[in-house]
Amino acid sequence: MKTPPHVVIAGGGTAGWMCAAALSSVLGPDLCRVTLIESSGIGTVGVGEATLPHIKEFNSYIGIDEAEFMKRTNATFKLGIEFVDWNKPGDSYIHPFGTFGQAFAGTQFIHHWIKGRKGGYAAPLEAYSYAIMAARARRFEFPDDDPDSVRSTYAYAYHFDASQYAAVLRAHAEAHGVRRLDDKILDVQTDANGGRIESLQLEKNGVVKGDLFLDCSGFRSLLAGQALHGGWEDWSSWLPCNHAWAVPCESGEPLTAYTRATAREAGWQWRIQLQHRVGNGYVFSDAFIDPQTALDHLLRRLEGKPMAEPKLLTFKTGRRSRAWNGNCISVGLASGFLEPLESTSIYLIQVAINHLIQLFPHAGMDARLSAEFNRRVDLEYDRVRDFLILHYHANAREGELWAYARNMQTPDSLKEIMERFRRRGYVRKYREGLFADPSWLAILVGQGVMPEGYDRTADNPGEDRMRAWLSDLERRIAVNVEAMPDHADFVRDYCASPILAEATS
Amino acid sequence: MTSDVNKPIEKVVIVGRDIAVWLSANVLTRALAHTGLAIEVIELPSYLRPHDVVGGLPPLGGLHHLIGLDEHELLKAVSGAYSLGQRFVNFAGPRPPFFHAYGSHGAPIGKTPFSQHYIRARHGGLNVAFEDFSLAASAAKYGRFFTSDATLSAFHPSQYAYHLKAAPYVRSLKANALKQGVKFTQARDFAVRRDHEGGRVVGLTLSDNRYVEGDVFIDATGEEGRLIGGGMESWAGWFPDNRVLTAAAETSASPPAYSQVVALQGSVLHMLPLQDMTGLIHAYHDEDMSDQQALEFAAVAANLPLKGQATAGALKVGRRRKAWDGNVIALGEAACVFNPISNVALHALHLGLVHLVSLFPLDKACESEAQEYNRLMQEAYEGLRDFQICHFKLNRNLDQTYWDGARAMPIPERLQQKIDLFSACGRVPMFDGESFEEEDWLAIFFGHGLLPQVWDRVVERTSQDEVITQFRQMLAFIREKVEGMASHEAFIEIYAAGNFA
Repeated sequence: MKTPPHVVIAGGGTAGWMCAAALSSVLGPDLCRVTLIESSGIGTVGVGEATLPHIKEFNSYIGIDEAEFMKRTNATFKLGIEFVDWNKPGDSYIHPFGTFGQAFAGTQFIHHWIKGRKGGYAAPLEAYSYAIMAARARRFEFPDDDPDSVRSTYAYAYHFDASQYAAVLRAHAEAHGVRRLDDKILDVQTDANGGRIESLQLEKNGVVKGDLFLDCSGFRSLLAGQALHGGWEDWSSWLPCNHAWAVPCESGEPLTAYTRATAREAGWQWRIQLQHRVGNGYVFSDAFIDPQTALDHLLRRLEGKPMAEPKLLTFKTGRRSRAWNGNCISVGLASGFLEPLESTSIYLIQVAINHLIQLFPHAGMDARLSAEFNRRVDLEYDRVRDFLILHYHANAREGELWAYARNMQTPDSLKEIMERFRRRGYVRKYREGLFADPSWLAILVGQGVMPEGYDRTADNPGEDRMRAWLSDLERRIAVNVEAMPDHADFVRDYCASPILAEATS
Repeated sequence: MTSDVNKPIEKVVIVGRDIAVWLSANVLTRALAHTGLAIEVIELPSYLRPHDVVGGLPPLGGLHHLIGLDEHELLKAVSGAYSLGQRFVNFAGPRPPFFHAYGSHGAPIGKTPFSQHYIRARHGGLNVAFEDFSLAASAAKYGRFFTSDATLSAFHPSQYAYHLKAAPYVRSLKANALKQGVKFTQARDFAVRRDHEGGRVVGLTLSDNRYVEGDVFIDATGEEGRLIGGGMESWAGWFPDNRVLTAAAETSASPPAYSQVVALQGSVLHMLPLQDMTGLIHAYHDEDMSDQQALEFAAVAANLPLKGQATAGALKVGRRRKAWDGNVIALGEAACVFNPISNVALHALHLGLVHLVSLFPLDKACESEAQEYNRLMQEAYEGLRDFQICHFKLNRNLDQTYWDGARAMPIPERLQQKIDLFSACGRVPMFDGESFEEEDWLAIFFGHGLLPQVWDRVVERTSQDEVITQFRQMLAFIREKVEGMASHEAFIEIYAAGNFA
């Protein structure tokens, strides 16, 4: 039998180890041999500590036990993201992992809600989201299986320590036969045309040849960028932030089941609460604030004592023109960078892995496979891009960055979305990919894009009926949320890490 | 100058004939009449002939339910018969016919789809057609019919469509609309009055000199698109036919629960069985045969005695560049003319109505809605069209000018992407706005004889013995279920038999 193709992964970190764990467990040693090269001398970025619900599928796909993994990564649950001061100072809204209300008499909830707002009888949007109300109350439990229950209308993700997650994945991958080389890549050999990678020259282990190379080397993009000179689409005029300070601190709040993103003078600050610490960061553009001032602001605003030296990350927003180029596929930051405002980094890695497994070049490189891979991956990146731009563009804040974002030319695709939503609450449905209509709804309304009109079919049920229905929905959500356990208690009972267990014993 | 663009829409005028006009009247009335919208229908003389038959796709049943049309009553009234899919005959020389059945094929094994296991098994010597793993195709093949129940859930709910006689279908739709109080006028003809700028339609002067005003106009006048104007994008380059003949034949002894598409020497014959006749739609090129020859060939191929008259006319496939232009929305053939090889025209009308309801203009400044509608409908129309083109492109009738030509035709890029990826790995790229799902594409790709050389080798993690066992179980399940089903005839007898003596 022919030897299976050799997949060489350049770089550890979340992207590299997710690839290694998935390929080794889903394809197995008969279908591919996997070598991962990482240097313990080179740090990983590891800002992707907040995730999207899709990560659950990934973990169960490759066979990772939830409670066990949560213990090991000091994980907490996540029901959404709170955006503070984004539209204007004093505002707060949550982008939930869940729906808003439900369709009624054949008409989507949004239209009944717009009508109700105009008529003065509907509550603010978040009262109709179970996920948001639970998040606000700092409560958590697993969603109900019964699709008729309001307790089934949400999903959840995690906050976790990304370096620990990489360790979990590494153990899993190595148990499934992945060979790990702790080494440095000194040189990348390409073929005569410079279109294919033939081998990697390592410092200690000599030359490593491969059939398929995954570039998980982060921003440096050693293979796809430096060796193959793959093109890059620059999106920094739409998303101008290019730096982030990251620093963990001690916790000063009860355990939150959501990520928080607070708008700041020249960017925004993240807050991700784990069992044992809070991850913080200030994402900013150095065109609008100097790094030292940004760091001073961040440290001054921490809720507790810093637990490590602050780290400065530098990045450029955009994506590689062709994620799969020749026999090299970029995954993670080597493939594209979108700031972690919507926790999409790990999701985008996962998407690349799913498509790679479906389109795996079992019979050698095939342009038909890479074309489809790139089509699917591009679609995901482009949609996330538009979604992120919306957060910046629709704002009523003061400050240079915010004025710039408000006045910039957005992509036509986003312009149309905003215009139709403002006109009549219309959100187009996509066959696949992020983000579904509740997500657009949350951000559009949250950023102050309030629809002027609604679908005429919302006039069918009659106002009295809608009043009663809306208030019943609101009440059902409130009553059920009241009965949920506290998030901190839930975490302690379900997946307390040794650190948390000791702290609470 | 004051503007009235923000005035709400108070009245919609639906003008045209036949199915397009009355289906639109039903849907818009159900969705919007209670919101204070006035709806008036201007009905033009019918173009329908007694032998005109129309086929739907499975979602049609849901639409009828929504507009309050009882399915059994309807089938009685229109001599309707059920359909589980389409059978394609003679598309690959002497090879046996194949089915495109509405529903799924096989069940996933492990985490990989059935189709991938099937590709591997075929390369391992399996000699069972893809359609044999479809409950619907098997039922259709053995003259049976069924509707889904819980015991079939492992195979997903299979779906069914039906064939209807067009003229009585229009009568049923009309009666149903009138029951809901739709206001209507008959007119022989009309003239269009536009505003000063010459853009928006403000009213219609009917042949009896009555003047009908409206805020929004639905153009259901058929191919000529009397209100919509603007250009058609011709699809003639994607299809080998430019003429269509319609006729009726007797029913076969027991009408099958599917429509049959037969590749003739230089044309395509589509046969749609009803309770009391079989509709024949024959598409061809006028350089290849006369209308008289077209009729003769159709009769020979159908192998059923003809009844009544036949009619022939030009077939001009294509799509209106702007189906929504100003305050006019074109529906039915005014918006898009399809090849008659499959039953997509009625479905396209259905989609046009669904999108119109969800984007129904709030006021006269509706350019934003028009743009979105046009984009959605272009995706929808082209998706249906590509599915049709695929049948021509993938034929394997060698040394027949018509079919050689069809194989050599250029095809739209998205269709090429589908064929390419399927050939490469047995998967199908799917795009926004498509009506046919991956399952449908798989059915016709395998059916037309494509077999990918490579499969997702993850399937090899299931042992060959295990796969064989599971395949046998699926086939046995289907056999057992099909044996227990009533015949299509019996189904019609119980639920849908009219009196057509």
